[in-house]
Amino acid sequence: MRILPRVAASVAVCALLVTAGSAADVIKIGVQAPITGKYANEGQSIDNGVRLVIDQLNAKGGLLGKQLEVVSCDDEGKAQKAAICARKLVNEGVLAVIGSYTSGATEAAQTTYFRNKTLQTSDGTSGSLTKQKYWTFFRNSFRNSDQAAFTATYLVKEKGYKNIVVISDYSGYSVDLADSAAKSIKSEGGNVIYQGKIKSGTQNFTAVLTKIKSMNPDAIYFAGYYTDGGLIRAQQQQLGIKADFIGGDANDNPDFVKLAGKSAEGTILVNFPTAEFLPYDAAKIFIKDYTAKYGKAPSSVWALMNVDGLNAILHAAKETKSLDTKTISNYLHTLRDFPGITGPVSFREDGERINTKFNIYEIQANGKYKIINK
Amino acid sequence: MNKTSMISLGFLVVMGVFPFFADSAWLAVGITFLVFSVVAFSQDIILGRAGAFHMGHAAFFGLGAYTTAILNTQYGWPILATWAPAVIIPVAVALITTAPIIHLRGDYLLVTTIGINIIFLQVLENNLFGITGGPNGIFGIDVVTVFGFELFDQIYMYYMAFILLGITLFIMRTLDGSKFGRAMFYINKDDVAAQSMGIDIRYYKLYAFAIGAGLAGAAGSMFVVQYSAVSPEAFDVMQSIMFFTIVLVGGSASLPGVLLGTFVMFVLPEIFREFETARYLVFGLAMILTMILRPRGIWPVKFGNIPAFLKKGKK
Repeated sequence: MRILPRVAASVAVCALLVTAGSAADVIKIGVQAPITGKYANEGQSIDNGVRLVIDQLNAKGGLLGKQLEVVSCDDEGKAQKAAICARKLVNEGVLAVIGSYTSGATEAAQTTYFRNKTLQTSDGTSGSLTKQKYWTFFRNSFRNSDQAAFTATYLVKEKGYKNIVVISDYSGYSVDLADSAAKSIKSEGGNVIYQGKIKSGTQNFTAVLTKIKSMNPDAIYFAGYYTDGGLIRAQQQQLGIKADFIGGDANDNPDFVKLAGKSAEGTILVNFPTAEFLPYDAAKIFIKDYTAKYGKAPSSVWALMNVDGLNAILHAAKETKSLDTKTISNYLHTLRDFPGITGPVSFREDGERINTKFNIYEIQANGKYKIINK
Repeated sequence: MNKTSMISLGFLVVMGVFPFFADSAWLAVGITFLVFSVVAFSQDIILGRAGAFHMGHAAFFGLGAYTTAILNTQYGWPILATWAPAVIIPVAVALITTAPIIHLRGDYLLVTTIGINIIFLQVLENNLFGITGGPNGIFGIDVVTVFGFELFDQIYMYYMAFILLGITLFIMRTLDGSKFGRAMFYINKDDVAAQSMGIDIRYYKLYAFAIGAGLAGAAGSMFVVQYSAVSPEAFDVMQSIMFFTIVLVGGSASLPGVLLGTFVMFVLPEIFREFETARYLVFGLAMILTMILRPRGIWPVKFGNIPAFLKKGKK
């Protein structure tokens, strides 16, 4: 048996290397985001944004006299990968995790962070994210139900659509948003003639669109992601469906316009104020720095929301002079009007961000957004 | 004691002391290795020993995982209580689904087992009974609790997976020396000859499927507790192909071969994150080269699976 001693020796060497390597005194910040895969440009923006903030902070001397280090984990927007990422980042000993982009990946990782007392801040909008009331979780965006109520008022009261079609994909975020929207439309007195689901990433949505065409709707509300939304819009035009297209917040990405091509013109998007329309000084400075470093602007407002979550956590650690996550969390729950990139940051007791400001955009022929809400 | 038992014993000793040298990150890698080793061994019972071309193993793995997840989150069962169903349900499903197709040979069986896996995935994704959570999966699975004490630390998880691997190796060892093992050996070598000797091929192949599915189910249950989340993409056909090739590339019915395959496919990507994307390339190349240069696997069985009763003077 010559193999056994060798195996034992290599295991021992590995173990030694590991124990020797983990002594450095830095604060680790985790990023869990879809750095590759369908939502890669959002994930990369989050990763880039966090790294920019941490680099700037390190240049100024770090946090509480310590340098910071960013550890990224790619969840590809998939739940199982997210759960694995959560394990990895917890094992790395991160103080807080920024992300993920999708609600599904965020929720899959949530429990592991909570059990290991690791802070997490995400832009996920699903209502279910704050259902557990984990003290470790902070939503840096808004709830689907808020957006749905705002959208419904616009569709029914302002535009006076009679027959509305609601489409979603099967993801947690999308189903949640579509259900809340349908509910809000009904309570506003509107008429949802069809609520359907598409399989994300299918490319060809003509089957469901043909069905919709026969119903002659006034408006199609799509509660899914931009990768599908752009294509649905393009195929809707090809099939000659006259209805207006209204996209939910996750359609707000430059790729929507690319995928929809010429059909993008006239599309209505509902979202939190997009990066270029943010009136705050913090936003202008951050976007300038980001563009200078990476050669392009952040993909959308989502990365900025996550950066706000990060900044709030760093601010809390600095104010409480503590790296204890419970202390930081207690402070964050009482945080009011912290000047963020996307506006004042305040958290409720259940980790919900307090704000409800939305914008409605119409995409112009040149692909630019025009604010059309009053 | 033969060579295989020595290797498995040595492996168990190394894995048994591993946590004393490892920090939490390495412990997680260790758990992955243990859990996937069990799945690979259970695939080896069906493919390497019974010689049934089964390419839907992720379905049984997933069935165990989902059984634990659903019973825990939807019906509030403690994790410990879900262990028995997480083994029994995959066994039952394996028997029901493979009984009508078990007579199929080689590639025909392969295609039908892929079909089983695809159907399983569709059931999960379409949330058929409203309990699988659809494409998102199920989140927030509890940790194991014994007498009100939460076995939350990863070290407990490690040793639970370790015990499961021990049980798996024990079962495989017992099988090798049993009537079942001998029957398997003949069926694998030449099923026509085996049948003419009066061996009931159908019975023994089903037996192999049942044991393989049960072990995979148990591993699935461990998997879901480790990550406290489960979603369909972990059980797609690609995963089944992975288990299949681990056995073929490592070496059918070869204990070190299967361990080697598991290590390369599931452990190296955990250690080297850069390897994550390259692993399919590496493994694809390994598959091609192995099949050309070492058609019986990287670490083939030399005399390991010749039953003791055939070896004169050795016991």
